[in-house]
Order: sequence, then C-alpha cells, then structure tokens
Amino acid sequence: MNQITINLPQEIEEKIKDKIIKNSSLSLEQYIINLIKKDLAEKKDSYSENEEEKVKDRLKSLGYLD
Amino acid sequence: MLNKFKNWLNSRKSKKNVILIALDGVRLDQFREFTYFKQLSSKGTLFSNMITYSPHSITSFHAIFTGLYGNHSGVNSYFGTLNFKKEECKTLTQYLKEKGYYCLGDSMNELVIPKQGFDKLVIQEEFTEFIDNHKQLLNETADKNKEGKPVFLHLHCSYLHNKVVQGIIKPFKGKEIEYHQKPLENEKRYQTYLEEINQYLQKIILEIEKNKLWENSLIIFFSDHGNSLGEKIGEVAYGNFCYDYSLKTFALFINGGYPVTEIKQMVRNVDLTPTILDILSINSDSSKLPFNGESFQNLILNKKIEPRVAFSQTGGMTGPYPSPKSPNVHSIRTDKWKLIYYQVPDNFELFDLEEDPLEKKNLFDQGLMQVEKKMRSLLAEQIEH
Repeated sequence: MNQITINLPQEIEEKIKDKIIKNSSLSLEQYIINLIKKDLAEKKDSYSENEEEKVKDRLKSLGYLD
Repeated sequence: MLNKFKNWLNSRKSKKNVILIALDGVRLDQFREFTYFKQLSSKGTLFSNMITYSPHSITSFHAIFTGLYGNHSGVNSYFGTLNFKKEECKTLTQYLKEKGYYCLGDSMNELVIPKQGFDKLVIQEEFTEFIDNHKQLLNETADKNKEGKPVFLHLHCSYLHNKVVQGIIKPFKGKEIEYHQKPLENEKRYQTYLEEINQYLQKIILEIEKNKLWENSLIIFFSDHGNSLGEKIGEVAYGNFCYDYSLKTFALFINGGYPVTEIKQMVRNVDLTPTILDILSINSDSSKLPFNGESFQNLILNKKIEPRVAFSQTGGMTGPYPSPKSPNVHSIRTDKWKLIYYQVPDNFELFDLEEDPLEKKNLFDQGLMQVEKKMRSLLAEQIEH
C-alpha cells in the first residue's frame, strides 16, 4: 500500500504521547490512522439539516431544548 | 411425528413473556424503602450496582437494547439516534421477534428507544398520563398469550423525567450554585416525585396480578440513569457528568423461582440484552456487531463471574462544557476505582469508590501511579476501540 508522509508539530506529538498513548499499546501512527478512520466513518453517516431539525423538535418536547 | 408435534407444542407453551418496565431516572438509594418497591424486591433478584453506559435516556436505552456502548452503535449523544447503525446492530426486540414473540410497548419519545422489531410501539404525548395505556398493554399481553403467542412488552414510566424537567431543569437553569447549596431541599423534592413512581408501581402490580402475568413472565424493573441532588456544582439533574449519582442504576429480575436476594457486584446496562438472551437460550447473531455486554445470569444462579469494567460517556446539554452532539466526558470504572476524563478542559479525576463512594476526594496526581496507569490504559482501549 502506498503511503504518504505528514508533518506533525512536535508539541502535538508530545501531547498525544503524553495524554493518550502513553499507557496503551497503540503507536502514534496507529492512533492517528484510527482518528482519521473514525472521522471518515462519522462523515459517511452524516445526516441532513432536515433530520437534525426533527431531532431538535423532539429534544424540545423532552424539555431539553428551549 | 406426534412426539415432534408434542415437543413443539410444549416449547410454545413454555415460552415466557419478557416484560421490561423502565422507571426513568430512579435512584435506588432514594427509592429502595418505598412500599411498593420493597414489595417487588421481595419477589426476585435485585442488581443494585448496575452502571449505565450513559447518564441520559437516549444513549442509555440504546445501550440496553443493543448490548453495545454508544461509540459502537453510533448512539453516543443526545443527537445520536441520527447515527444509529441499525443495519449493523440487532436489538433485543429483533431477537425476540425472530423467535416468535409479539413485540409491543411504549416510549416517552421517538428518540428514546430503537423501534426495530416492534409490532406496535406507542409514543407518549409529551407530559401526559400514561398509566391507562400501560394497563391496556398489559391486558393486550394477556390476550396475546391466550392466542398462544408469547409477548415482549416494554413499558416506559416517564413520571420522573417529566417532573425533573418541570421542577428542576427549567427553574434551576443558570442557578446551579443555588441548587448545589440546598441538598436537603433537593432530596425532599426528589422524594416527592418518587412517591408518584411508588403509586405507579402499586397500579402496575395489581394489573400484572389481574392478568396472571407473574407466573408466565420474566419481568425486569430497571432504571436508565440517576439524578443529581446537588452533589456537584454544574449539574442539577443528569447528562453533564459521569458521577455515580447519575451512572448508578438497578435491575430487578422477577421470574418464578429466582432467589430473593440483592447482588452488589458491579454489572452494566449493556449486559442486560445478553443476559435476557442467555436466560431464554437464544444465541447472539454473529453477522451483527458483537455485544460489548456479557450475560450475568450466573450471578442469579449463585455462581461467580469475573469482575467487570464499566465504560461510560456523556456530553451535556447544559453544564460547564456542553457537548450534545458528541461525548466529551468519559469514565472507566471497576468495583473499586473510577477514572473520569474531561476532554474539555483536558483533565482527569480518580476516585476510590470503596473508601469514597460519594466521589468527594479526587486522587488523581496524588501518587497512585500504578492505578492511574492501569485505568488510563483501560479507558484508552474503550475510547479508541
């Protein structure tokens, strides 16, 4: 599989290593691949404005939104 | 041939109804001494330490019905039903429907429970009386049984939701500190609301007796989340944080012959569907997403199960860092320890639940490095599954 190189600011790399993957078995690369996959999956499942409005109406009827 | 027919007939006769009665927002620590709940507790096995995947109804009910955490099923937020992976999940209702059950029930709102598999699902009109409808659904269950059909029935008792919205969420909006300063008043108010649930139970018990449903049904009373009584600033009800006052729920299993006992070992609400299927000897469907939950039937049978780890998430409608479309508070919990991670403002809390069940003393960064390491690792596994 072809791969590309992406430059990551060092402070972000350190933060990810420190906060997220320090205690897990994931590599930095795998962690970022997982994040992107997740984001793509969410985009694929995205919904229309009309559907979101319906949910808002129902949340209003539950008393959660004004 | 005749024997085969007799076996088939017997298997149909012995199929029990499954009746779920959801007591929305009920905290067991506040409700356990109420008359009709005590009466019910003397009929079965009470799981008093059941942890919800998420402390509000939409996410919690989807976790119950799918046996999946919301980051697997897609329903991980107030807006989560828009992302429900209905083709990849198989709900409890669908399993039972496939086994010949007639599936009916009600829910307080279109968003709250997955509709898949229901033959009839009544949506309550907002803030209206529903007890007559519940009686009607119990009568319908008995009628279906007379036709030889087992029934899966779901009843949603939403009194408390309605009361909390009208009596707490709306009037205390923007007044979280005031709410936090009056815990006794909050408790008294909540107890008043619970009395209505007590009266509801009285009526439901009578209706179950009238229809002779105790004998031929597995009946489970449960709650989907708890409620704040002002324990922490920033939350007047539920949904903003992952503290035990809103994560702790219960399930009371009543099924002829089940031991009358209380089980305090931690279980999770994602375990409910796998447990019910296990009780009914129904196998899970390998073509669908595998359950995050596991059966705890062995605890009812007085056998041991391995201690479990409970994962929870939420993103508040209100509170200090609202996030209604995506969870931003995550927790991981064993019987002893709980780690909470706040994506915003990016910090942790660690609690020793055995020594500090009210989660008052944050032990994070206090030298418990091995515990922190283990709990962070467990949490990372769940978040980045």
